[in-house]
Amino acid sequence: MVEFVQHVINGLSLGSIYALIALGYTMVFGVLQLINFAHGDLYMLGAFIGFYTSQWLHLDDNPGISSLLIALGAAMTGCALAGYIIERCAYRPLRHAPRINVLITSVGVSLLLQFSGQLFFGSDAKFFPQLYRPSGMIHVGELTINPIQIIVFVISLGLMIILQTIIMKTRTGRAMRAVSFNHELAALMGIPTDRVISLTFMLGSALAGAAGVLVGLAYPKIEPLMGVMPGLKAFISAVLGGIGNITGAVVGAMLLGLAEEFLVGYWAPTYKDALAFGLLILILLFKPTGLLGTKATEKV
Amino acid sequence: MKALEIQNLSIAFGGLRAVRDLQITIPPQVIYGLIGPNGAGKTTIFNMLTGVYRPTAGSIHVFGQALIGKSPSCITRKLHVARTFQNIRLFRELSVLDNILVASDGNNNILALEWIFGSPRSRRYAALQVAQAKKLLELFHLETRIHMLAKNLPYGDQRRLEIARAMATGARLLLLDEPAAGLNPAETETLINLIRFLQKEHAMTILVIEHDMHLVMNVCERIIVLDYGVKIAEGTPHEIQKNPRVIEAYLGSEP
Amino acid sequence: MKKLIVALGAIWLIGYFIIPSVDSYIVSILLYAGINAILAMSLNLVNGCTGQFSMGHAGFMSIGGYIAALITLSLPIQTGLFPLAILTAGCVAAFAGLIVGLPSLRLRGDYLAIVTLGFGEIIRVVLLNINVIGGARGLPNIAHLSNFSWVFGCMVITLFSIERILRSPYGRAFLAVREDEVAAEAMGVDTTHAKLQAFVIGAFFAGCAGALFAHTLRYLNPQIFDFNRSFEIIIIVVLGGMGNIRGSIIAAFLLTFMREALRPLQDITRIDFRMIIYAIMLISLMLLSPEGILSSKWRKRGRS
Repeated sequence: MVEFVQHVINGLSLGSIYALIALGYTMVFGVLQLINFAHGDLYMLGAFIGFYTSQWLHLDDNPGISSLLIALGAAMTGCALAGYIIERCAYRPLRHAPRINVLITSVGVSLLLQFSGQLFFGSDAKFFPQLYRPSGMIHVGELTINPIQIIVFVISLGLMIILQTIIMKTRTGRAMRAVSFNHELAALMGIPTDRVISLTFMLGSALAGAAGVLVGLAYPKIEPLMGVMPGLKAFISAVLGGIGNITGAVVGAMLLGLAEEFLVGYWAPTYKDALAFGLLILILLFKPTGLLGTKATEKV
Repeated sequence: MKALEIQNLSIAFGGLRAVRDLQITIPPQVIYGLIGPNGAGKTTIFNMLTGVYRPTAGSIHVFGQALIGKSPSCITRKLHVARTFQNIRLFRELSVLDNILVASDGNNNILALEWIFGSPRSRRYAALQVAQAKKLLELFHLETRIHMLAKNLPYGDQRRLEIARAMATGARLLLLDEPAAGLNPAETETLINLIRFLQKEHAMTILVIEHDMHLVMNVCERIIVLDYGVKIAEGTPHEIQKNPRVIEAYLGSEP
Repeated sequence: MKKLIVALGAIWLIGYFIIPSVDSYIVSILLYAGINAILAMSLNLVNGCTGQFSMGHAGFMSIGGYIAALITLSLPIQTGLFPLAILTAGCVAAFAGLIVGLPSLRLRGDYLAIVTLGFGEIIRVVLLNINVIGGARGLPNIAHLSNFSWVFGCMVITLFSIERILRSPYGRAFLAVREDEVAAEAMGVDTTHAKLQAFVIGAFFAGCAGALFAHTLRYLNPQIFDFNRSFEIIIIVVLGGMGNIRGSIIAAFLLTFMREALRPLQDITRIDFRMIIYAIMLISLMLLSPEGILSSKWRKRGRS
């Protein structure tokens, strides 16, 4: 029983990181109907921005929440900027091109980020500075909880609530929802669609950047190709929950985090990376719209 | 047997009931018109008739065969229903001939391997297909454009090619969605003759959505008027022109 | 068509007599280029002609490679066995294509991209975990059965088969699906079926290419068939022009030679410059010349 609860805690902590990345996928898919393959690599970029910021400001000399927030802020700002540049230079010119061309471009951007990452950051793994050093484990009965897991979970949750507020309560959020509902119609209604799309990219990228720093905190090894797998898994989470659906992305991510943790804990650790894809195929077979998705019909 | 029999047909999108309790019966080899203000549900009916949308209630029979639940391709192949689109949807990067051939290929049971090795059966089939396609294109005055890419055709030719393509599927019930949209008066006149010709010489049953009243009144034997998803009138062109409910739907009621 | 046959025959004759006197390193580059051409043509059938987006071609290639290697390793080596091994490899890969395609092809193209990417990854993980075929250590001592004639022959067969299929009702259905799925379905094309056919045929040739690859390199390791291998094939297809089958051959040779030319640089800096260049090529091609590097004139001739 203790072991079970332990796995649940680990799973939720992992799931909350997937969720942060999945949100960006689902938001971009919402406004552009595009799988932004480069999104996972923005998360890598976030981790490295966090890394270099901490090094530059010597943040690990006085660890604590404030240092963590500084690194987090830097990564989120940097990634938002990168997201803006990518959208502006690579995707916007292709707004009226066939969808497959945009998809190919996003694969190109992804490869570019990964391998220019190797060029600039070096291809070997780096050790992420310990921005927050817990004094010890928290013991609840027989349960041992790493405070870092709680921090990761709480920060992710906080960011998700902020995002939800932006989307549901602000004018910008309303514009985003309008654009994702119908591009041309939104443009006709006087919504600056290009600006809204840029903003969506920036928001999504910022969340990915935050995920990068949080991952650095929890699993301190970072390297330029680290974004590939979590990126794909986050995308799968978004599909599991119903792509385009914000709540769905979070639910899907938590489920995937838990499923992976249980697979590793109880059954076959070597198949961890294959699990997500297996789940993807299952969901596509039985409920292609995702757990919380609704069916959309193409207009004829 | 009726060419088309629609009973109690309804469809709802979320809360919006786009078509309600529709009854339509069309005997074979006549031309019916389907008119109504924008948003009345005309194209929605076509989408249900071709399997793109699944109705929430009711039944559709084409020449006695149930249609609901079948896939669009199956409806075209087995029930012989074919359509054109309001905004032309040709295979733009394919030649005029290939556009026709895609539609006429159907079930030929010739294996891919036979095509690779060029078996006699596949050669015979190909020759026959091309000959038939050329004959069809002559009918539509497109024989000189056979190798042009569809996207390079003049607009009027594109409209005609779409009808030819629908014919090539071996259709018995033809659904035309605003075939005269964007045509000039001379082209519309050609179209009117063409539609009549298809009905008489090719024994087609035709249901046409159209806003061009000149075409509707000249071509259709009977007209169905739709407003807010409900059939408000049906009759000969003469009857429809005098029907007060139709006038109200189009012009709005007097205060 | 006749001209092409004569030209191909001449190339084979020249190759057949010159190859024995050419440096074996250059010969091996030629072989890999030919194998890449087969892979690119088969992927082009799916990505270029049918308008789907498969990203797991390396997965089918690895299945073909392992199957063929297991056949020639477990049976006494005879040259006559090789075509059988190639065909079996192709068929097993095609079957895998059917399994992967069935669930994903009902959906929109972007899902296929992820599913195939994931499938490639699953295959790799599974191969890593099977001890009989060496797992992570790899499968060594594969017979050296592949040579210029085999690769060239298979490349030509692939070219002819795919071009013929494209001019048959099968190929017309593929192209119709690419042009407009809704209209294709309305014209009686079973689009799911058509996509599946394209996918299975593509997987078949990828499996054959894998068999040739295994017997050229003479060593297999799951790591060889990672994401980057699939990306490389995609690059070739995009470079040669989506839907342009002959363009894929030219692009395959260009890219394989470029990769070899870059190798010294890579050895010095220990950084995979190849991938950066691929990435820049992908983006700039899509932004500047989505039809590939070959002119549209060539493209039309290739199709008619």
